[in-house]
Amino acid sequence: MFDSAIQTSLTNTLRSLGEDSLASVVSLLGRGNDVGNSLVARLAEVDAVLDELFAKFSNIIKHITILEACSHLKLDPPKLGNSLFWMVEELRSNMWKART
Amino acid sequence: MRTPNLTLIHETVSLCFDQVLGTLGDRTKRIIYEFLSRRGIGKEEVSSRFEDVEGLLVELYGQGGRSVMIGTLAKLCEEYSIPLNLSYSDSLGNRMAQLTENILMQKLVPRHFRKDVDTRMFEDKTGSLAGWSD
Repeated sequence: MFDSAIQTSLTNTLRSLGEDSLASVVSLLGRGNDVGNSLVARLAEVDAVLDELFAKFSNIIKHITILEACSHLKLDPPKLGNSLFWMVEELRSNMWKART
Repeated sequence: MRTPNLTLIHETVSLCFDQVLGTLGDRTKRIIYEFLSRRGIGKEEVSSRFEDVEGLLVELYGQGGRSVMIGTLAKLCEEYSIPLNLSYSDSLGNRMAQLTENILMQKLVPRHFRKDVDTRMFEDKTGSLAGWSD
């Protein structure tokens, strides 16, 4: 459920930017059109690809992804930083803490 | 004439927009405000001229510019604790209008405003500074 929320938020955010944004990210990741769950499994690479494609705007895209995922998961957002990978890890940790 | 709640929404949108621009750095933020000002859009008009701002930022930065407006909506939703759900609308401007309508209908109050009111009430009541304020 957690990975699926991140995947959905990320793909929704990229799609909302424009038709080609998601395709460009997937293409740069080198996985053709097979999006599946591959984005969450390769978040460190997604981080780098977003920085490469969107430069300064990549942080905004990462923050939108995290805020949308938090809304789906009903969790408070972590401190918004520059790394999607670490924000997702912090969110995962927050979810575990909230469960226990 | 605006209702007080609508004024608060406009202020919150401006605040969220400013926070998102802050992500890009002070220099870029200043450049964007100057660019908008040259096109006749003041800081306080981001909400009422949302689609114009989107158009201008897309003109200036392409898809990156759109991310600023989506980021503003995402922060706005966080302030009012409502879901962003961009797929509910065909454009960001329409989604902004839907969110505004929902906020007004449900009489929601943004987080930053609640904190301000709590702080003022605490300080008025106790006569001392609230520990959580700056």
